[in-house]
Amino acid sequence: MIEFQRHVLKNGLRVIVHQDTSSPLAVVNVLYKVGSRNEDPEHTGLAHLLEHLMFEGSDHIEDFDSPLQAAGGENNAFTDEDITNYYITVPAQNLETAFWLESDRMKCLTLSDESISVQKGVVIEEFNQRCRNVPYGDMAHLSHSLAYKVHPYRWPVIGLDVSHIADVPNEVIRAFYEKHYAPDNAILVVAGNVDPQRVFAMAEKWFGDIDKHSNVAIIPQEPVQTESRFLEVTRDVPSDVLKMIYHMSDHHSREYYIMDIATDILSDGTSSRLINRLTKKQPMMTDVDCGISGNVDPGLVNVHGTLLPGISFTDAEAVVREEIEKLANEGATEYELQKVKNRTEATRVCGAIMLTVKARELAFMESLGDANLINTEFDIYNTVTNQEIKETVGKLMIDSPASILHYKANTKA
Amino acid sequence: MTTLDRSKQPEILGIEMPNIPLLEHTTLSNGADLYVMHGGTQPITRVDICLNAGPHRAKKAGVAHATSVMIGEGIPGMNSEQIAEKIDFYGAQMWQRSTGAYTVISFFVLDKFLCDVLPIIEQMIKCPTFPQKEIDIYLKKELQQLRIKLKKPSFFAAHTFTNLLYEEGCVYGRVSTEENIKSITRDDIVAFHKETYTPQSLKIFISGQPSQRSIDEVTRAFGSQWCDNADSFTRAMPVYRQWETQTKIIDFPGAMQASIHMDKVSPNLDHPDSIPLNIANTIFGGYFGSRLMSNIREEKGLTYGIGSTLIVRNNGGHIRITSEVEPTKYDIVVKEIANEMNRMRNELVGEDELLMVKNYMKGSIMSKYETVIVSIDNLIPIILEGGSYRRDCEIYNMIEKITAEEIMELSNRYFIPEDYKILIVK
Repeated sequence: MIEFQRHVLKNGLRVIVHQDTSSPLAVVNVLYKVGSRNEDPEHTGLAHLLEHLMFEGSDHIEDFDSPLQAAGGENNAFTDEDITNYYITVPAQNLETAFWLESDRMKCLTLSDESISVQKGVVIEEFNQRCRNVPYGDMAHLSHSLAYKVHPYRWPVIGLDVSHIADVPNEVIRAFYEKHYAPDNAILVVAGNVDPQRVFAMAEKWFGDIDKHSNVAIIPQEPVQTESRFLEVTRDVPSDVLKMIYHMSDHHSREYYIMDIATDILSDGTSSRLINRLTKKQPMMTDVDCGISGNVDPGLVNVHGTLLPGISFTDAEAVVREEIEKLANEGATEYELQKVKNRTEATRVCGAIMLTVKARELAFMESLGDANLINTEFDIYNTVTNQEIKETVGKLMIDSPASILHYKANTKA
Repeated sequence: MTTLDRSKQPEILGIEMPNIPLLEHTTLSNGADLYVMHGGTQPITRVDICLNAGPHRAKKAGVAHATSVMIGEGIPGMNSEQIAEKIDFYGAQMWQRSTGAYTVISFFVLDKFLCDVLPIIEQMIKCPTFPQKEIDIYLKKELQQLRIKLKKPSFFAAHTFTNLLYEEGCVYGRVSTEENIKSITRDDIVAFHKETYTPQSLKIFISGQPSQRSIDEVTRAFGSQWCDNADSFTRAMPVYRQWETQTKIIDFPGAMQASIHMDKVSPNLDHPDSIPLNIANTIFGGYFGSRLMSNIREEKGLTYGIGSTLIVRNNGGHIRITSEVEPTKYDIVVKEIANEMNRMRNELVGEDELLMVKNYMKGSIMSKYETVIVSIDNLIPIILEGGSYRRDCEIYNMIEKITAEEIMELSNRYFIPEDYKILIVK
């Protein structure tokens, strides 16, 4: 049970405090409900670029990192399709530095022309490092645009192309910041050796005067996919990769929990059905994975496998489909369901070890609508029935059309 | 009511050395070292079994790692699938790491299930069956994965650099190749296991919230002389290769970035320079606000990341600088790295910067000990190299007292640009 207290400021900022006196540290996690889903198609990669710019100075604090380091702190952030999440770890006695830094950059990020120019260069190198200078680097670009035709999930978080990052006008960046970086679009979580009442007072002191409101545009929803889709590409890679993509509901739905268990049965652990069959028993792949995206808008079920030399896409796909059908028709065994329960319990216990994980999870659950999901989610998992697993897998992965990607190697050994 | 002054940082309070939990040490009846560290708030136990079975002991590259993976693929009465089923069922996580003289087999599990998984792991270590079928599958997978990795310029650069730094035949410079993987046989693995998976030089770490029953079970499993020890192993020494020029450049067609690797030998773990160099290296390139990051990433936008890592070993440690940079500007980056080295050598670190780094490092040490089953990750490599688990106390004390003059002096020994071998892959 992860205990916490919750308070909402007048300006809409949600503040959550989890006290943990076993640690001398405090973690401050600020989650903004903005991700690549909030971008326009002409300016993709903007949410992630802005994440970089959040470290480039605010009107009262020219240098973000040095004062934090002087307080013994460390920080990082990430952007995904739905959120941008910032976290600071600091010795608990220096907590207030984190509030000073986070509140100033929420209120008045400077966004100078110079810092924009430098960070564009940095992000372009990140794009190169993640997508252009690695084999399979464009996998996300191809698979996202195959599965989605309308929704902004159709482009990856890093952006469609380096030119989007290079060419985005500075005013567009500033407008994006104003629209999304407001207290009513944010969740502040503090976890560690802190006193909740003192934290709430500190939140009021530093964030209370931020009088900004978010202005989040409506996001175009993806129409139901009615036809099967197929894409084949050839690249300079040594192994073929197969991707099979299915649509599913969002993280708020019961379907999310059912499919989380179903995909665990398929590919969590060496003994799982796909991994055991395709990489050990009847080797056709070097690795295979089946997971769910867990997005706030309707997301995906992804099957991803690297084929061994000499194995055809047709044969590999046939085996994957066979395993999906078996699960839909017969469901999981009692042993498998108990295994999932044990693994879920282990995950739960591990999730309660590190402050950064607890803080992030509290923030994320609050962004879904209820911070207490951090405790109650496990109860939801325990109520999922075998009948639900069969029906949902059948509905999503057999009765609905899939998107298939054949990523072919041009240099096979 | 006082107006909020956003231009002023709130007061910073001092950062003390965190409490390092006691590492209880016992010697088992077979001479093995057992270390136990209690801590944390969750009922998880982690066990790390450190065998003197690392790659430096093998005759071929890849054999040590192959053995460490293959032990999990069959034991008397259980095949690969059955073993995986059991380990997964109890929610245990198992992994292995082979480096230098040691292979470490690690697992963690809810303490209540430890006695269910331990007998399986015990048999993996003592009497694995090494099924040929599983070895074939493993080698095929290793081959494919190596081919994929070598398509990545940054991996190719690190791989090639390791090989080029040392003389032909020196184990420190041995890297995996296709020919090498294809040459690994079951006999190699069986022989290596027989020679090295013994109680000789065995060290076991138990951390988290182990019950006494768990500790007793681990002691029973690994505390006896379950087989003969091999002849004693003389630790391998690094033999460095002479380069005709300081810099080697290798073309990698299609590379979208230039990969820069620079290397120099660092002082041994017990050398008086080892601990203070930690601090000098942090300022130079060891954290986000370092000289290298500030210059090459934050000022010039030429890279997503650049860093200088101090690898501390009993013997054969080094300082390694790496970065993936804008492909047409690698020469500028190399020049700037040299400039930053010379700044460290010729200019005293300013008071503000020094205080900032000291506090940052103290905070970093505090974070390391947040939770015992994570902090053990930092302690095991130091102990395997012959260091003390309380090394961070020495580092903390050095952080308190080191001066800008001492840092400058150290820089003039270890940050001389001409001393570094440089590899560019572009």
